[in-house]
Amino acid sequence: MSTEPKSLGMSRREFLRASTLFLGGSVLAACAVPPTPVPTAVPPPPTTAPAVATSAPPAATAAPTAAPVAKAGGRIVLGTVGDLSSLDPFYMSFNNYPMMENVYDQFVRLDNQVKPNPAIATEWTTSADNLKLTLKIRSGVEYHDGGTVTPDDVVKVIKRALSSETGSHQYTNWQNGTDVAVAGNDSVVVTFKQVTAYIISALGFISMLKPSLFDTLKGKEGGTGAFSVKEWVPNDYLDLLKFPKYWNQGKPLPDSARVKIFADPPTMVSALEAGTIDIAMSLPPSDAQRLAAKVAVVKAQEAANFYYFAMNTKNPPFDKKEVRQAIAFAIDKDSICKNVLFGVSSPIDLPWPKFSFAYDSKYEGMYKYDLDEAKKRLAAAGYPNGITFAIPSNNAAPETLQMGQIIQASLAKIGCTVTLNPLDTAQYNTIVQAGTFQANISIAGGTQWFPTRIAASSLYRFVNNTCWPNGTPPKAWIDGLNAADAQLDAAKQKEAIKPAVASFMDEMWSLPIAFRFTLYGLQKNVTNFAFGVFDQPRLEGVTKA
Amino acid sequence: MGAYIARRLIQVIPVIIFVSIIVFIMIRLIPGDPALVLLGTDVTPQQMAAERLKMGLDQPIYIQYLIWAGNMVRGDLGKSFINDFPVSQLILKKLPATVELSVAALIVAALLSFPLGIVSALKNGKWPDRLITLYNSLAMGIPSFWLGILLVLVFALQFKWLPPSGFADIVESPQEGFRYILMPAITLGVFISAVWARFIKSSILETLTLDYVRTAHSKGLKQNVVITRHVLRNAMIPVVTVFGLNFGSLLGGAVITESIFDWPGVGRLLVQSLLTRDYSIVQALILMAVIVYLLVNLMTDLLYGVIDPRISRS
Repeated sequence: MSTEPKSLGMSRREFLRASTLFLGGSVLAACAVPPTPVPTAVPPPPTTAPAVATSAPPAATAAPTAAPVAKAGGRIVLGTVGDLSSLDPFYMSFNNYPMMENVYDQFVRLDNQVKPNPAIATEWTTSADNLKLTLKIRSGVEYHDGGTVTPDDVVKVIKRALSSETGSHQYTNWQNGTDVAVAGNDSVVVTFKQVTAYIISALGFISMLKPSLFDTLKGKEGGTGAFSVKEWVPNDYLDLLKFPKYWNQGKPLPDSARVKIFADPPTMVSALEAGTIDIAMSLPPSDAQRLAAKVAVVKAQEAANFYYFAMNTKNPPFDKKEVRQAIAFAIDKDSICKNVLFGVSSPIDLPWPKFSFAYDSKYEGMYKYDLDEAKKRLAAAGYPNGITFAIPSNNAAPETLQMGQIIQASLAKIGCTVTLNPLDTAQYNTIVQAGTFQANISIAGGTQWFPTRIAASSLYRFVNNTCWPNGTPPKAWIDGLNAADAQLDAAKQKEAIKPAVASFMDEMWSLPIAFRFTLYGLQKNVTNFAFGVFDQPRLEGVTKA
Repeated sequence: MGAYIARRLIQVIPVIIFVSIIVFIMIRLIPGDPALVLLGTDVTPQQMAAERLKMGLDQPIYIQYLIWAGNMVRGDLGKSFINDFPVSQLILKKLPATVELSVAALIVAALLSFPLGIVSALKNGKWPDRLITLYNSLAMGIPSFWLGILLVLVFALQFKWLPPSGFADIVESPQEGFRYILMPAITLGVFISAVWARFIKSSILETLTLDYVRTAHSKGLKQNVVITRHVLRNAMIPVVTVFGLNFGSLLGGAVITESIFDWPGVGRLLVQSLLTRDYSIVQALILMAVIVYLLVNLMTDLLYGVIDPRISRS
């Protein structure tokens, strides 16, 4: 007997085929969302608009204001890549920025010129010897979970920052503090062991926290900011609710906000393009040009961060200054800015922006790309056939690997062999912390708010510096930055820091490549978006047309 | 049956203990430290030591294991090293989304694979079979990240029929939930459908040659009756095995698909926890995956008996 199956009949097959097509089409059609009506008053995107706003708007950093009628209320969805690590604002990592100035109030609110404005502190004065700082504390500021901020609470928060064990990222700003106490009914006095010029600006980064919640802040907020946390689902979203008792009357404008956490940039970019998020934080430069026709692309704070190429001076071949200088000549910053950063940034010579008192134009072009000069200097240093080394990079900043590829290609032309070693953040941090790298491409920040605060970064700090023997960088570097910290007059600060800048450029353990701009993508109906000195999004004033 | 299940469950215990030790050691052998991930490199060694103390990482590894294992036995999965969230709470938040996606992917796979496998077997060697073989090769060869991105580009960004990513609870909002789950379920289901279709085809082809099928035909039964009553049921045993394996692995989290579609499941949680060296979450998730796998295997074995009573009798 044959096992060949009998025919099921043409008519049934045809019927099934037709039914399947009909059902499939119906399902997809049912899934379709009618296209979002475009507000008629919104003008079409100007065809001559630059791909990316050329610089951060000065004060309010408001987003393009083409949309006509901005309305308070509603919900703002901000997309970001990478999960928050904690709800404790003392952990100032980039991933935590979306909640930093929305859930918490800082002692002062810095504008984009780093000018302090009243927030938790309404007044700040220093003693004649500049060793005491008095803060007058705003009355009637309420915590999200009840209770009112008192000067005693402020003392406890500052004490937390003064301790290396509890101060986390605040400690480096507050380590000169020796004591803090309540003064009178509404003030607090902080005592310092030495003049600390940057401390007023540092008030813009320390958040008011409820002391009784110190131990649980990692997963539960304790703030006074414009929004309270409704729910945080790690790796998914952070839901924020308008805080009705916010001290700043009339704010926030949105009723709620969601920080949507994406696993990777392409997913966030798709969501922005599809309109499921209102604002995207940290657009990849490679997408900015393309997206500029659909959304508003805004460059955030200048010099909030910068890319650098570091060389570890503890071991050969980078223990020789001449080798480090030679390599600096062989790095094609123009090519990096063009091919990796897509023109969003330009090459830099110094880690400080032009508005900084540390900036000195005489260093412009000092290490201009010149392979002949690099080869000559390498030969003079005893390496006529080039050197061999490895560059680790952090996968969380994939552009650093691309920069490494350009450096690798340039150095190959002068006989150097470079191995690229991409690592996840945990591995990368381990070798940076241990100082077991030869060279390194990374990102540092802090030069935009006070030039000496570059020393908060591990490769520029004065002690435990993993780039230098015994953890100590050149004396001129330390003395110059310390001297600038001890001066309150701008002209004197500029003079005081000169030896540090000279040492930086001469010792060349770190070559600045370009500023890293955070790019925000905004739907065209989003207005009044602002960001902080470290690019933290500020949602309290955002409206949608 | 009860004794059999009890015996199988007891056999699971040493496996779990062995896996827990291996996972505990392996995750700590990977370079990196959760305190360094949390704090970054711009802190002092003293600050780092203080954070490690808070995390309990200053203890010898065997002490850390005993503390963790003791808590596990009491049902306490511990807290995240990074954000202090209770691990059990985190997993319970993420697991429903993963189960939903897994079930949806299996439904897509079943809807595709059964007709394809059956037609392929019945038309063996003819053009429908060749066409289906081509589909199977493509479906198995196309990487899921590529298919996922393609679906997003076409159906979300080009036609705007579906949202590009995200999640909506299908119980609370069935229509929204369906719109969100369709593309991830297809992305996952297409690959599985190709595997199943091949299994179904080969299993049916094997069954078709057996005596009782010839007998059924000789009794004058219609082709569709022979196929559905006699062939399919007996051909299902290898298919059920593959189904069990696939379901078990899907519950461990479809990492790439969850990332592409921003699906808030355990797969993304596992990857993120590995990247941040959040040991307590990684340990709990891997143990959970192992337990689920073992239980699904047990259920698969029990299902054999339902499909073919001769197996349970033996």
